[in-house]
Amino acid sequence: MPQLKGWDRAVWAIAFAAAAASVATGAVVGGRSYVVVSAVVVLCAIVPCFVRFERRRPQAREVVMLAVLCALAVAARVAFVWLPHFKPMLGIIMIAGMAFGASPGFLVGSLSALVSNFIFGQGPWTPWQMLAYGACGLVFGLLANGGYVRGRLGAGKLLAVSIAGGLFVVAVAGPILDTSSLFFMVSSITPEAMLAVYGAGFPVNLMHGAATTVTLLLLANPLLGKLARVKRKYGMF
Amino acid sequence: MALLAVEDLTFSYPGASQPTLRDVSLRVGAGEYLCLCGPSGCGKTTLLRHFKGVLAPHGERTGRVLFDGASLDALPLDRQSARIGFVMQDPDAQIVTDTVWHELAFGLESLGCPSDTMRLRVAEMASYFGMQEWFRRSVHTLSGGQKQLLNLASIMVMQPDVLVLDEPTAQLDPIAARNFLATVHRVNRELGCTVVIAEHRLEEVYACADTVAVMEAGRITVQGDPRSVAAALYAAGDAMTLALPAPVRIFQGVEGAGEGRLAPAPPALPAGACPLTVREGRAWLARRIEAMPPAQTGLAAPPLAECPRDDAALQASDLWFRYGRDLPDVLRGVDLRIPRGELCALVGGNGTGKSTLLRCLCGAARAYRGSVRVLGRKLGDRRERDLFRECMALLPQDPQNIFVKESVRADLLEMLADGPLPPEAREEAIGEVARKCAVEGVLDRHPYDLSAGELQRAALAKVLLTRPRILLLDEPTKGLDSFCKRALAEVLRGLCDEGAAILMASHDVEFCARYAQRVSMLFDGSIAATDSPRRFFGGNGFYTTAANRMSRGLLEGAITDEDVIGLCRS
Amino acid sequence: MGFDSYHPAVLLAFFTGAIVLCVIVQQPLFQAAGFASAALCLICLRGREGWKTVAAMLAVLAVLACLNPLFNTGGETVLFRYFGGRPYTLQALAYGASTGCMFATVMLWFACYNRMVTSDKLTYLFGGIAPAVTLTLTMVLRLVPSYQRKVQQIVQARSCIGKSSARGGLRQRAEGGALTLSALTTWALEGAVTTADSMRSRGYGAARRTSFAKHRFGARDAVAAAVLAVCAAVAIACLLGGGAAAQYIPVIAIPPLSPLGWAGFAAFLCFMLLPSAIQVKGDLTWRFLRSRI
Repeated sequence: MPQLKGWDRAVWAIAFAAAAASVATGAVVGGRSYVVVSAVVVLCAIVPCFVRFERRRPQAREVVMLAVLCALAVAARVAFVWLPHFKPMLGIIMIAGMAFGASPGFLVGSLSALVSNFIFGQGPWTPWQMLAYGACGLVFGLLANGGYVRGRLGAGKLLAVSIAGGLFVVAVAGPILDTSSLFFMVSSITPEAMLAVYGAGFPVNLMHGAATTVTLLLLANPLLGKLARVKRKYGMF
Repeated sequence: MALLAVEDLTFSYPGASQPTLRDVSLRVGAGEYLCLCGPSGCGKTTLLRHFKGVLAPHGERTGRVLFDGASLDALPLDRQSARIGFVMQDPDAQIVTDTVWHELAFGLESLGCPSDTMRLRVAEMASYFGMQEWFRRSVHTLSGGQKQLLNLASIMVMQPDVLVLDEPTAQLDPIAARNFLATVHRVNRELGCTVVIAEHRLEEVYACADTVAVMEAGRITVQGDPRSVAAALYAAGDAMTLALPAPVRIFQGVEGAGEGRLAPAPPALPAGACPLTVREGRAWLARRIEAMPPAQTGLAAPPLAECPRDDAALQASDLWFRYGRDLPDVLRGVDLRIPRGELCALVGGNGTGKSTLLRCLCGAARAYRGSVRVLGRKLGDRRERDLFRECMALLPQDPQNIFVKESVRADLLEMLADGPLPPEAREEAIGEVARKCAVEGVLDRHPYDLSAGELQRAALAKVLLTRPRILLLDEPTKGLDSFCKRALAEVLRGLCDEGAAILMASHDVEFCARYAQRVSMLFDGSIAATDSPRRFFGGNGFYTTAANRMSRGLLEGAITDEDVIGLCRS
Repeated sequence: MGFDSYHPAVLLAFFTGAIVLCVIVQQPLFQAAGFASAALCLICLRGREGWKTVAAMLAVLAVLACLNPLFNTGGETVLFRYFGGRPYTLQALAYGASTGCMFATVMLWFACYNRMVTSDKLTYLFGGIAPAVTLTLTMVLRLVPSYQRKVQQIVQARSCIGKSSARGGLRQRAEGGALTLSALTTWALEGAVTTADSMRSRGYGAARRTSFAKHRFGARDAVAAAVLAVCAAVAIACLLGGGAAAQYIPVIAIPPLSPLGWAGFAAFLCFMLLPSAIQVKGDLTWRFLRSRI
């Protein structure tokens, strides 16, 4: 779809220009404006994906499927109430990415983050969380786009993907989220401050990463199987 | 001219060995109320979906579907969406948005309706359906009946000419179902909207319908006005007669050759004489008794034998329960005894705590006062593991909830996974229980692909693998048609004969009257009465069977169709 | 009655403006005013609960202030030294307090935002620009409670046949949870097909979507928007013109407010106090009306 590509490029160009403009404005205004600028830049990374989805005029089944995946990611926690501090959300987002590809994966991740904040309260971290969770869906969606994942996984692949999922949370998604604390809670970004913020986030991210690995180990195959069946049957995405 | 017509429609799903619909022809006039009935799996849903282009299944099709004289395929999407409304079975999954007002507006939003018109139409329909009170509520706070009414209303805002309903009450309790069907009837009568409905609750719709069409194995076998269809079904000895409303069945049983009996054609009855409603039935019965007084005008109802204290399989004394410290009591001193080898029914209105009581009896909810004795031992003294092994089990209202695997067989195996049986014996145990519940044919299917009746029996099979001696059932007949109910009753009877004690919470008065040995009524948190069905229903005026309402004051203690027929023929 | 009954666009504009202004401004008087307005707004909305949140945020402010000198050693006035000579300075402490105040204010505004801008307002607002995304959001918001209930039903039903998920070790619990979730997924996908059918049979995709106008942009919304716009413009002009300049490191330099600064402060305060003022006015009107009944 060449027409879409042109649009896509234009949207990304606008977003990039907006991000650059906000950085420049921030530099002029000075002071603490970088906090606002950072949030704007993050939003500029998120919005084009949504514009793209919107431009495609998605069909009913695509909208429903996206909504179902997001709702599953958000509601999954209830199934694990017996395990304290166990957060399966990122694992589910990664599975959604692996089943449907990078672009839907990103949407599932960022919308899930937005919705869970509707429930638990929005905060300055919302855009960052949308970016971080979207990244999980996107990166694991790339696995599907690259043909590494197709339907159910073999034992070796399952283990590899699960561990990669955990590591991704500890090394990428968690730290992106911590960055919002860095911007909002620290007055000057010094190496010590960064060490303190990311260091304080590490145990939490480790727990979250472990939960993600366990979720992937237990659920990747059952869910990928079910999603593949639906995808085949109704030709979604 | 017919508003909606099907001409020689034959349809088969891809890969299917034989067509699902064969040579179906049907005409529905404007403003008509057409009821489509037939056993489950006869092709009702497939036919109804052909009335709505976007929902028509993919497959091989010959024949035509006409709407307003032109082919339905030629009708553009927006016109079709507005003019043909479709209500499906599942009240929950049909809802798209999160609030009542938004759901009402959804269809108009999709069609790009301008804002002012939209406001007016939504306001109008919300008032017509009496939804002002819950207009701003979230949909998840609504009951199943309210959800289905919302689905109906959100289609009616588009002002359709035709309303197609595919078993809309299958997942509702009888009271909500009656309310829903009354609303559909009102829409037909007051707004002149054409109605095509597939329904197995014929007691409610049969008398409303202008036309009844009976389907069997993809064909329409009988079609016509309700009285002549009933006569034709009886003349053919069709199994569908089982599902007809009680007044029709009693009339045919008394005056005709009796159901399923291929007797020489009975002396031609005037078709107009057949009563369709309880009111008509009473009038007919009174005339009949006057003309030919029966030898016996009542059935004896001996008092129920008290269940001895130490013989009770399950005994609850003075149970009190509430869901939270500051919430009101749901159970207030329930006393109940269930003897071995009997099928006991627990009846009562919506929200009287029937399900809660069942959960208290199996320890899933803890009563804060009172005690439960299971097979002579206190519930609290038993470990959870022992309680659910060879002792007790509860089959929930929605049997789907206990299935978590990809096939019925895998789900049944799960029950034996940590048991003592060796693998070969497990297969054998599954085969045995599947035979008992008549689900051998579906063992390798996905639980979600089963029909309501099959699912209910498969769930029963799963529960029976724990070899329970006390079985608790919550609304076991919900969504089942009369054939499935009969099959279920046979399974339950077999279990009782083996000595199991069964307690079922049910709204289904007819089922309880016919099959239970004792009936308890739960009201305001405690047991208001326990008696034999004949004494219990024979004494009630409203909460009783259609046969009893029809024969009240004319015959004594008749609670089932057979009772009335038997007495009349004596 | 209160500010939350205004048009969602006004609400969103207010919160965006309030949060951006409170983040950028560094002048202590402005910051204190911002914090106080946010606290007042929350207390108007939530009463006793609001007080608790405000107290908690003050504690956070104090902690952030005290921690800052540990990471930032800039500043001339050394209060004490630790770890063999690392300085703990007054200026860093003051700057930390300023940042802490910013964070606490933002958190309080978000607490107000969460009470006032509910999801349906947000989806209403973006329904025209992004119909597919907002529809998806609406659907997710509907599905989440329904999935949560379904999980509870599955767990309850299974516990009544001896398959409780609360039993066993961590491994068994995790597996029980996974089994429940996998059953939930089957059910959810099954429902998705019905929902998609229901959407298509109600014309989804047949035309460009319009949205049900639940809110109307009335005269009072226009007035409020105009007031906000003027105040924001003056405040921003003051900020860019250096009317609210403040420096913390290496030395604390906070010049007294110039006339421009005072004008900016007045506009800033006016902006921030708007919701509380509307709330209080609403309460007073109500009391007055009641006394006349």
